[in-house]
Amino acid sequence: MLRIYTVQSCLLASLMICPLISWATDEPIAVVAYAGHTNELKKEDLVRIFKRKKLFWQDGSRIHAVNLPVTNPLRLVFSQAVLGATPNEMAAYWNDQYFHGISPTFVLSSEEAVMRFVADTPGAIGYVSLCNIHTKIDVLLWVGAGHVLDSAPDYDCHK
Amino acid sequence: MILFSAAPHFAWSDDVTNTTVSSENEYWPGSGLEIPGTGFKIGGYATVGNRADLSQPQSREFGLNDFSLLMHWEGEGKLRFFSELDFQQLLTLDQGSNITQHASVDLERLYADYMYSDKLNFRAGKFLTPIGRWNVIHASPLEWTTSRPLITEYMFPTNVTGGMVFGTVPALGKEVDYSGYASSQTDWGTAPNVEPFNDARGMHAIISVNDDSELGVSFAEFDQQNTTFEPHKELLGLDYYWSRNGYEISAELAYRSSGLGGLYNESGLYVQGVIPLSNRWYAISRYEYYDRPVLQASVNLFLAGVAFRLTPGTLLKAEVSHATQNQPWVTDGFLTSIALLF
Repeated sequence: MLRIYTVQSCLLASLMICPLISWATDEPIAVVAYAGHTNELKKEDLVRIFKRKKLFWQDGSRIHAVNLPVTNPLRLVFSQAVLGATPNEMAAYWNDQYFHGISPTFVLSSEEAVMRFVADTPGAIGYVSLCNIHTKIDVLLWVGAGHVLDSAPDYDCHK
Repeated sequence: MILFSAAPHFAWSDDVTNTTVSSENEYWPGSGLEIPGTGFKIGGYATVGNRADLSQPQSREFGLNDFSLLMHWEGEGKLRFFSELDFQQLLTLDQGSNITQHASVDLERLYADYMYSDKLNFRAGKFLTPIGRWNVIHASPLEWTTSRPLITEYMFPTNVTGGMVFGTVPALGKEVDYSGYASSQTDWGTAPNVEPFNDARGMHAIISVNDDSELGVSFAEFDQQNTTFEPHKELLGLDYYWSRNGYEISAELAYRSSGLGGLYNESGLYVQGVIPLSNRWYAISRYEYYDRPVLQASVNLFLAGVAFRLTPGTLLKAEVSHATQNQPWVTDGFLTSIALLF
């Protein structure tokens, strides 16, 4: 399950600053796609896809990338790990793209919607929690501990 | 115009209740308005501003300086369409609250793209001249200052009517964004104070030096209309951009040689720095140099300003600038503006 914790820990000394510590779940994220593009994707390609700079798969078919909403914690983790910026920090980039008629990556409201869309739409790519996958879709890459991974991380979904 | 739906086809069953489209896909200021079922999206940007010459306090102007309408279309295939109609100086009030007549309308951009692949795309129509960095992203809400660097405004025509190839290719272990263009016909919808290309060829390439910075190089050779006595020009330029955690450094330098040589050669540069003062406040400084011997002008311009990002698509700006030579084509003084995307 996806868990987000925000913790304020205060030290006893009144002169010390109380740090605000927050972190996202340690459950990895799976980058999923419609069948047929396994072993094709590298991290650099993932960045370009979600910046809408890479529009085609190797076979020439159109890439249909989908995001989760900015309010979804998975979106924040994915954005920071892949794009190196939060969705808010990406606003200036998308403003520049808007000036050239390029819209941001399309957004679906839930992981369930992403899985169904990716399973049914040729060329589709999205991301979901690793342990939430229940549809037969290809996993191309993983995001864990703030990094994009080429191989499946060792994670027990049953804990 | 053939209309296609740009939205991907969602093939999920109706009983899944949590598959509604997110509000991010709905309209908000700065996102453009999508016309459902057509693939067309309309939007634009506007600027309201004030300018005062510090040496002549009575010469103050305020007005709707810029109003641009953007329209683009993208379907499921390889075609893409874009247009920009630019209304300039729609309403200008001078010191005596007199309405001055400077309004003009210009077809800033109108082109179609064929996206053959990520490495190779084709564009035909009227588009922004890919020289340097500022010119291709010169919308007021995207720039930190009200005024524009001199070399990006006067050294070359800001638009090309013709064809272009562009894409991204691997080189030197990195990815290089390139563009190559050519024009040999009259400019579409020329703005009144621009000398458009008569015949032009050029290229621009950008390489990401690292995650924070980009380096670009431009080359162009061209003739301009209404300058038949000066038959041929060549331009070589470099541009650089670095940003991290809200801090920015951008710079461009260019040298333009003329077939007549000597006094008709021009050179110039600008260097701009941005410092985040808070989550929304920014400090900007810029130095410019522009040498135009034929006009007996060698201008050094110093600018300092602040900007407040009210929303992601709305920027409030204030700046004061001083040029070492009082040239009529140099805008300096105290300028403020509100720029917004819609």
